[in-house]
Amino acid sequence: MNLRSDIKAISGQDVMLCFQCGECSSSCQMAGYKGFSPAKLIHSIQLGMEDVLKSRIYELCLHCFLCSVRCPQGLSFPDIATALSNIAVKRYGPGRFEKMFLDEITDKGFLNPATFALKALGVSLSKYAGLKGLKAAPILFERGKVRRELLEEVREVARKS
Amino acid sequence: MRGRVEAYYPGCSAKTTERAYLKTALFVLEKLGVDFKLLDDLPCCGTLEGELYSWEFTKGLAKIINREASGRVITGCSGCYNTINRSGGSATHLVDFLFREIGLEEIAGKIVREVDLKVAAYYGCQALRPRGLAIDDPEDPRALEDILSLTGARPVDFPMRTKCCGGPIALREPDLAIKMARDVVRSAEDKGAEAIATMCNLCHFMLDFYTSRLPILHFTQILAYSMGMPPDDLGLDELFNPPRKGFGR
Repeated sequence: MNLRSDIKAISGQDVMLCFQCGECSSSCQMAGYKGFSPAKLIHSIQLGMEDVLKSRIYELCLHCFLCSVRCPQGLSFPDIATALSNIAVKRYGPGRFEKMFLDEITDKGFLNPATFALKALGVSLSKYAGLKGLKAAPILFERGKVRRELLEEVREVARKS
Repeated sequence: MRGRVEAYYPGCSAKTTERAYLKTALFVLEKLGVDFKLLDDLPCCGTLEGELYSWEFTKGLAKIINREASGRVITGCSGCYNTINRSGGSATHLVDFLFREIGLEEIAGKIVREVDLKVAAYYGCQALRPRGLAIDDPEDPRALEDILSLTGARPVDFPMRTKCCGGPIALREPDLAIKMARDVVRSAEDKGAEAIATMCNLCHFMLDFYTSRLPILHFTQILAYSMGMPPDDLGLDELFNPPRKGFGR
């Protein structure tokens, strides 16, 4: 198993094209947070350092794609981050939020962002939303309908992927 | 360009927390004489979490969505737009559809009243980038401002208009995500905006739910009002930060 070739197979991104100009990190809204740096991550992968997988730090990528429109080599770091996550899920199992999300989608077929945030963050959601949490109560019960046979199909897709 | 039946895919949030977006978007499409079917019983696109779990999963969902639509879908959600297209499917963003396929002239012809509002047009990320999916210039877009200007609303330029709302990391890093949402609103407020107009389900949820300094509108609420939708039908009171002026209020 080689991380570089796995990334290429999943995302089509060849990390060896990167010559470390740093444009991605200087465009990144997340750069510096908890040591996150797209350029540094790519460099680690170039050097074959597979511990970036376990750290799951690539999950901090917002997928805003600003770096991808500025990269002189046409690399898309968000696609690399997605590939890293897919590989980590296969090797170590899904992270907490990916698991919760998959459970929600295969259970209901849709996602209510407010309900899901409440489930994921618990009562601390009210800390963030303040008194608005009260006004939000009704929307927690809003359900989107999903056709039964399509929901079965979603479950089938989830089983296979 | 008419004669074909379009398929509108609202996205999960527009069926739950962002119903005002769906309601006003459909009004705008109807006013413009677009023939469409509403696909409101389709599954989630998988969004970023699904993609991080397995790209094969979101590819499978995109297949279901395009199959049920018998082709491309139009969606008002930048997240759905981005995920479906990057998962091998075909989606067109509502702003792109209005701007490029309907055209400003035709929209202008349906405007019956003015909106008196200094509005900050907020794009977020996922309909502008990557380059292949950019509905306009990835770093300096005008499409949304141009559409909103037709209503008499006065667009306000602000530095954060193409930056992230924090939505993608709202679960993993809630404190930071909320700070990002507040930065966007503060940036618009600093430039004198009286309201923000969004074009994405998740951007709207982040800004409206987690901040309280400005009204956060769906861009279609402004458009629908100026096309004659009765103010009581706009869903303004479903917003956490309803506007106090600009809609006959």
